[in-house]
Amino acid sequence: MDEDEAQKQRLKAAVHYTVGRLCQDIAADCEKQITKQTIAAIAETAFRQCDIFAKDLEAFARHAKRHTVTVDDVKLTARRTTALYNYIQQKSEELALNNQELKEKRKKNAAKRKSKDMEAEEENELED
Amino acid sequence: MCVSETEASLLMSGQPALQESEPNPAESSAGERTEGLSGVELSDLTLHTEPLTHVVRGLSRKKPQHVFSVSAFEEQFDQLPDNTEDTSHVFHKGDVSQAKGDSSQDLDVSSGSKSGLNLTLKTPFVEKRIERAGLQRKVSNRRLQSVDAFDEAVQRCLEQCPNQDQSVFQDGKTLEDSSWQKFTLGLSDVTELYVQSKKDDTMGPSAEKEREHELEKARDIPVSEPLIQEEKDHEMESQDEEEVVPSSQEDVYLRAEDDIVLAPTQAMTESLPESHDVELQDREFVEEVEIGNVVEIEYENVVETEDQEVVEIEDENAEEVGDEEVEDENAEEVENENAEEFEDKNAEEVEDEEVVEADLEYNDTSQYPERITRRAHRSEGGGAVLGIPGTTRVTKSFGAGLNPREKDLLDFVDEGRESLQDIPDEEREPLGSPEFPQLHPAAELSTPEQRSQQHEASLAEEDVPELAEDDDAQEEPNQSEEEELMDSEPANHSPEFPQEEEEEEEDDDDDDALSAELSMKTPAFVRQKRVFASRTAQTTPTVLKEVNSGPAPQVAKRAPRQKRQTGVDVLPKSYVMSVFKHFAKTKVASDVYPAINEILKKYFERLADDLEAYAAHAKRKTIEVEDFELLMRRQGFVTDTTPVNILIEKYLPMEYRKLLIPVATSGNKVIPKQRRSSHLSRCWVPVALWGPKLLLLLLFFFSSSSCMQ
Repeated sequence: MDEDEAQKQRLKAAVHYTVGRLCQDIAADCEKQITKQTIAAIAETAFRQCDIFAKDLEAFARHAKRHTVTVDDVKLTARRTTALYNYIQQKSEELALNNQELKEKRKKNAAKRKSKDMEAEEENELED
Repeated sequence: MCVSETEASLLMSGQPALQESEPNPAESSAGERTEGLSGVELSDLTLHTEPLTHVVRGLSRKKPQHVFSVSAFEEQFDQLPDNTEDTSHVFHKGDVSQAKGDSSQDLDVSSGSKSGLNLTLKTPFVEKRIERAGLQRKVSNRRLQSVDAFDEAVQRCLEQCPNQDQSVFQDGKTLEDSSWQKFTLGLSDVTELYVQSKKDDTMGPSAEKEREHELEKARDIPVSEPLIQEEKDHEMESQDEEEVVPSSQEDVYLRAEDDIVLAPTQAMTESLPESHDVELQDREFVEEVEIGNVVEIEYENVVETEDQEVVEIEDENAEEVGDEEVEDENAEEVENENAEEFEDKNAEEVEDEEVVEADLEYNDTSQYPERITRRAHRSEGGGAVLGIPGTTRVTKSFGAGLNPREKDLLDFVDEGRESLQDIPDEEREPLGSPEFPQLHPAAELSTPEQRSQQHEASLAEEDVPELAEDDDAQEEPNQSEEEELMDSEPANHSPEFPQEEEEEEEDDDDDDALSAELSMKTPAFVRQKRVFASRTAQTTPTVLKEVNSGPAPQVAKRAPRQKRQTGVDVLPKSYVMSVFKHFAKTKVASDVYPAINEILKKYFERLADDLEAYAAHAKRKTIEVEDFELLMRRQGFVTDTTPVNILIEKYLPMEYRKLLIPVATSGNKVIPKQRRSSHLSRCWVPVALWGPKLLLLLLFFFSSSSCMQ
């Protein structure tokens, strides 16, 4: 259990650091300052929300009788927040396109290899 | 502070103290204008074109008075603490010229110390007395401009006045009034402005007017339309005059002004007789929504635009308007483009269609988008209350509009300010009413055009209701459908966004055609408001808050939606109220039922939507109990430590153990007990068929509604 607690503390520290960096960037844009308490509050909230998300995602994956959390589960989680949902949709579409392109490339490569092999075999046969 | 002073001097109002306070917040809210120079910029913009025409006037008058000022200067030094009083007093009629001279001098003195606007003041003025701080600064700022240019501008104004008088008179207004309105942006009746469409035709060309051209454009929309299609220069000028007036009245006449603002750009180039009035009106209608942003833009254009640019813009507009048939579309598109360019946020929807056309036209106005964008941002920020941005800008407009005749200007300024102040208080609807007769034909004409552009409407479907609502005030006679929107308009500006959303949603379809074009030109802030409203409606806490504030908003909302509400009750009123009262533990008024009804409706709608999503997620087409279990887990009722069965045992017995367990296990045979809640048992009978697990949802809803508050 201590291990878990220690792990949790490390994760919290990592989140806090990242949130602090993000807040600094935003503060620079707005030309305002952000107090440390605010950053701590945001970090804590983000950490707890991550916990909630994880539980929901696990529940969704189990609901779909899967053992892996997929993009569909994430979309189901973000269903209510319109902006975030649209953003996630766009990103998922882009990823889908990229994956399709990669698959096509692989297929082409595979086809080329097959044709080469076929030729090589033919050549070998001819030679033989 | 400097800015306020500048504006005060520019406005030449009798009460610089007030002006200082008023413009200050306006200035500060304006963003970049908060700088001392910013206030000067407004007037300075004019300076670029005709530097300090109005200001110069005062200055020019002061020139000869410099000699006198020495003694007066000393007096003013003594009166420095009383500056506010003096300036106000001085500026009023008689002493304006002197005041300016003094103020200009004072500005020199004070500029260094106060605002830090160390604009180079002419040496002769530096020594002169110090009028009220506000005035001083303004004068000093003005003085920075070349005095010669000022003199020239003044003379031009004088020359133009007689010209204006002739044309303005048509509308029954004195030219002075109209011209003054242009300068002072006095808030004369907007309706008059629209009626004055024709006076612009006779306006003689004037260099100074070109500067005000943009301002007048806003006003000249009704006028501009006829103008748009035919003549250019002289119309432009006249339009400018009118535009100035409407532009000054941003707050109230946002809608009307939008049309004017957009139309004039094209109208400027052409002047048509009444035949084109219809087109103008169409444009007005289309542009109504954009008034807020466009007007701001107009100001900037007016102030900043140089005469040449204005002419160029007008020429471009004229070029665009070739055929009568196309004119309307072009005008609308151009106007849309104008608004779009100025409003970056609207770019997405409108730009697609109009970008091509707009690009050619508004190359010269590249400088405007920046300012317009800023204003658009500001206006967007104030989207909730359109009047607010207008008010802030109004003050500036006053400053920007220098009056060749101080006395008259002061009068107008005072009037204008009063009217402006009243504007935010007033609702736009009443203001729109006087404009109805004029807009009526425009609205009709614009409708077919709007329909032609319905595709845009689809893009901005959400914004349509907003637009429709804004336009409703003006289109009432045309569309009875919009009446509901009209009613919702006050609600729109109220914090009751969720309610608005509902109303808007229901009226969207009705107004799509009408607001199609409007949606194209919807100011970004309006769209954002719409989106924001929809979002807030989705938030449960907001919904729950409505319960507490139920009676008031519901009452306001009831009028248009009464039919729907009473027609579709989610659950029987007696049942709902009894359960609610049970969990409320305090007295509950029965008029909360409509609010509860709406909440119930939304709750179950969202519930069903979630269940459907869960079933689809599991690649099923039927909602199963496990979907409900997932839902309850999401709702927090089922956790790792409390499985569903425990919940059943925990809750059902609490309420209906004796009643429901037999019901659930009896297989649809229920013997209602003769008790007070017997009616409840009857209600529950059909529900019992669902199964005990599903019954938990209803129980949890009521318990949560009382707990989650």
